[in-house]
Amino acid sequence: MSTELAVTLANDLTEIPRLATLVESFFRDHGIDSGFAVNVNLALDEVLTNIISYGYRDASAHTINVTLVLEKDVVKATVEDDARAFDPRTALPPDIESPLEARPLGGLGVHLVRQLMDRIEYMRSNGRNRLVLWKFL
Amino acid sequence: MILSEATEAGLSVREQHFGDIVVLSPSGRLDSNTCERFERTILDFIEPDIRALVVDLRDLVYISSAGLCVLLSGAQKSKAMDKELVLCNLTAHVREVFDFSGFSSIFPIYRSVEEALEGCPRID
Repeated sequence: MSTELAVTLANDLTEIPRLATLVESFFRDHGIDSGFAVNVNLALDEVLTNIISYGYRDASAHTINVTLVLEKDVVKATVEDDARAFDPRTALPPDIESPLEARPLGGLGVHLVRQLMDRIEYMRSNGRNRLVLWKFL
Repeated sequence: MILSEATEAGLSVREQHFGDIVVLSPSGRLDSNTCERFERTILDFIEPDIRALVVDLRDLVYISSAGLCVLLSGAQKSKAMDKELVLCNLTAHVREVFDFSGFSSIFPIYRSVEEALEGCPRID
C-alpha cells in the first residue's frame, strides 16, 4: 500500500471537503485513528481556506498541490501553491483571552494550525509557496 | 413547538421553537463552505420576539475557524441586542477546537438542550 497521497486541487473552497474525504480514507487504510485524521484535515482546511480566500490577486483558475507522506512515526503534509507569499510562522498570535464583546473575529485559522501541528516549515521560491506541516503519530 | 429544517451541501440545520427560545441544531460540517448560510440563519433569529438562541452541537461532526467566527459573531450580535446565545452538547472534536481557540470561557456551555433551556430564563 502506498504511503503517499497526492491530490491536485482547484482554488475553490468546495475542494476542501473533497480532500478531507481522501485524507480520511488514506489514514484509515493505514490504521491511523480518526481523531488524528480530523486534526490533520483541520490544519489543511485552515491553510487552504486562507490560500483560496485571500491568496490570489486575480480571479483565474489556479492549482494547489497537496501531498501527504506517511513515515515511520510522522505524517508530513505539503501544500504548494502560486498564491501571494505568506509565511504562517510569522503571523501574530490572536487575542484568545478578551471577554466576548471585545474578542476580535479572525486570526484563529493560523493559530489552530500552530496548535494542531508539531512542526511547520515554509519556503518561497520561484513565485511559489511550499508549506510542510509535521504531525507525529 | 415549531420544527423546520434547512439543508445545504455539508450542513443541515434543524430549528425548534420553545416559546421565545429557538434551538438550532446544525448537523454536518461548519466550515468555510457552510458558514455564511449558518450565519444568516443565526441573524434571522436575533429579533425582538426571541429571548435566546441555543445552538445544539451534538451532530456537528466538524468545525473550522470559519465556523468559530460565526458563533462568535452571533454571540456578540445577540449580546448587543440584549439577548443570549448559548451552546450545548459539544463533541470531543468541537471541545478541543474551542479549548485551542480560547472559546470555552466566553460562551455559556450546557451539557444538554434541556439544561440550556433551563439556563435561559424565559420571558413569557
